[in-house]
Amino acid sequence: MIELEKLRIRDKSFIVEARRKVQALAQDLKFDSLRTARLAICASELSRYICHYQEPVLIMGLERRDTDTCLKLVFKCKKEKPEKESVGLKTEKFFDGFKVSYTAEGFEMLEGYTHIKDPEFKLTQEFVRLEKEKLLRFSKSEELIALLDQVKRLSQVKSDFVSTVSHELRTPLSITKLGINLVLHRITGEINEKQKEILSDAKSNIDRLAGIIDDLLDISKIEAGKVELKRGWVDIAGLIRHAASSFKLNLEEKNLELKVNIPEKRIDVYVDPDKITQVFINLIGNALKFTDKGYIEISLQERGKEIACVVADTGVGISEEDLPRAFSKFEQFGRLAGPGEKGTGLGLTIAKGIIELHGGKISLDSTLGQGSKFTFTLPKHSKEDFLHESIEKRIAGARKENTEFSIFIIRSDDHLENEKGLEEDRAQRVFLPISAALEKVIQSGDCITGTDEIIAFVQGNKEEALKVITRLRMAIKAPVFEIEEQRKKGFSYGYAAYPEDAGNAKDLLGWAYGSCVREREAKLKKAIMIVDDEPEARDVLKRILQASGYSNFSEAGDGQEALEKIKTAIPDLLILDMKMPLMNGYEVIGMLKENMETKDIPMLIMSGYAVEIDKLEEYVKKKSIPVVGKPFDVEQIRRLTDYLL
Amino acid sequence: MKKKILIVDDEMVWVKMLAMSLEHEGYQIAAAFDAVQAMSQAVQLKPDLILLDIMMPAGGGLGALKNIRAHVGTFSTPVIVITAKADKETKEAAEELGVSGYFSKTEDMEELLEKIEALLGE
Repeated sequence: MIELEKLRIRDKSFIVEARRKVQALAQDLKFDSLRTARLAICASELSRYICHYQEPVLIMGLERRDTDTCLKLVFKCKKEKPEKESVGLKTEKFFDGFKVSYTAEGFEMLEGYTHIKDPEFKLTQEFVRLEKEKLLRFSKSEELIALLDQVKRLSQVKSDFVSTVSHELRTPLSITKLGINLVLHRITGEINEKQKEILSDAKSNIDRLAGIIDDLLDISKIEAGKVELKRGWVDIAGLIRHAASSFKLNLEEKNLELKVNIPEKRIDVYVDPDKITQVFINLIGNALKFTDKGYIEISLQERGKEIACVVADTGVGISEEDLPRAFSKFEQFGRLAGPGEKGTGLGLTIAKGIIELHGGKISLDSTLGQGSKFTFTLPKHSKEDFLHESIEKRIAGARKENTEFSIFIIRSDDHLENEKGLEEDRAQRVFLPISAALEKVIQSGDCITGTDEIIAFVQGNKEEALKVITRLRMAIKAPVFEIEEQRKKGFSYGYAAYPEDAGNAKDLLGWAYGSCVREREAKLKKAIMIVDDEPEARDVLKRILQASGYSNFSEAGDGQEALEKIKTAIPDLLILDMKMPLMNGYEVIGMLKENMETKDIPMLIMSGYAVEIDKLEEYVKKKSIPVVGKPFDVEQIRRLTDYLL
Repeated sequence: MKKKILIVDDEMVWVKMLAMSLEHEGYQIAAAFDAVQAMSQAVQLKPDLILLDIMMPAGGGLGALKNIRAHVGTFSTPVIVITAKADKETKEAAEELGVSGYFSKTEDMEELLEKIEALLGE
């Protein structure tokens, strides 16, 4: 065996290190993600096992077996009594071969090997060479590692290829266009009509070339699987109308009728709006090109778990023999572009690619001389299904890459009363500002909206995720407060970690919902101190807050008493009347702010005198403490209390 | 008074054309083709805006940005970064140093002019 690395598992933190190193090595050896994940799990489990004993060591290396090169992991520890055949861990089955042995020196050796699929035989050849040249006596093979590095770099280069090509093709085009514009716009001097005409023609051909490059790029990205759909809930009916309207002029020019046959109501689908618009533009544009009389009709139907769209025309149609080739990029390229057209003919191919990426299908019906009919379907997700699916996808991804993540959920309290959940577009208005705020902290793909809630995905283990979740909470405080003000309904927050809290989507969501409830309960237990010289005022306030569920109150009749009580128990929220005998509100605040321990207590101050409110605002502006006037607005008090806690 | 713009980019043809367009719009233009020239021009000229190609070879783009941000005379000068195919790390590093806008060579000139106008006022 060639030893690549030796790692002493000194303590638990080294178990993570072991897992990481094995994962990295597996990736370097081009293992697929499933095998990599399995090996990483093995590394974890077996390292944990040997960690219980003396002198635990993990050795990673390569070994030749028959004609194959294998990755070998050896877990070694000093143990008094040997295990018989296996250590009873499931992970042993993840290896192609596994063996337990006990050495004379009292070491237990757990050895597992996995074949490396080495299609170009590079590793194996290198191995054979090293063996032949007796280089195996060295504990590290630098050349082998260099080879591994090279393999890693190559794959990175391949994935950058698409974007590199795009840039390299477009830049000279841009520069050329810029140059032509400089002359056309007379920046370099006067030009005559002839020159102007020729340059304009040149410019429109540059645009044509740019269009072709864009189309080619779209196709190659779709085929390489490098298209990332930016999905969101989109009103498909609205999208169709919008796309169709951009062709209004063209239709008028050709004297064609546009029939739009879509239901009046809002139909939401989870799609990438730009890409689906592109599909419609391509289909309608195509119909336009080949229709000289009659009409173009767009219709939309809901069919159970999918929606079906039809774009039909009364154009020249396609012959039976040409039909199967309509979507083929090879057959169509360059063909459909007439004089002055900037088409590549790839429009249909691209449309098909986009539809299929969304999980739908497209088909074509046509009669020569009569017209064509394109029908495509898109899956229709229910928001619950979609939520579950999205979480399952995340879990699958995390399982593959052996990572952890948490979900942070913001749930509208409506769900308790309203069984149907929020209506579609109220949900938009309510959740849009919240998701915008979330997306400032995390990436936009990591935030999804359900019927009553928003879920944010946060990478990392529970500890790391919690830090981000705290930031998310701060980020949404303001928009949530505004929404609660408008809608008079509150929100609850919760989170759950995968895999620590639960292993599947249903349980993970359940856990998160449960945590919302637990949080709410914890919040209601928080200590609120009410300071007011009028006992009736204190009572009223108490009753208002009790109606919201709060129960932990303490009271004080003047500033001094309040400060005394705070010395023994710091409240989570202080509600303070400003005008009191002995020590007034200002002084109380002043004293509290001076003390490290009390300066950050959230506060809400009340004042009954209009004059004072102005005076207070100054103070309040500087110290950001909300003010309510007396007599107070019940709703306002509740909301502010909620917000501050 | 004419606003001064410094263009830093190693592609001379592009710089030439860009300079022509911008001068036509009334800006005073200076050019630099590498990080070293960029710094000396920036310090001498004290431009109101710098257009910087972040993808200059040998890390020149980011290097120039770092120097600009570190120098007392230029640390607050707005910089529009010309990106296009910059990778994530470069973009993030640029973000951290402080960038006032992005432009890609594949975009239309009008877009760039708008961005410049927005930054320089009038």
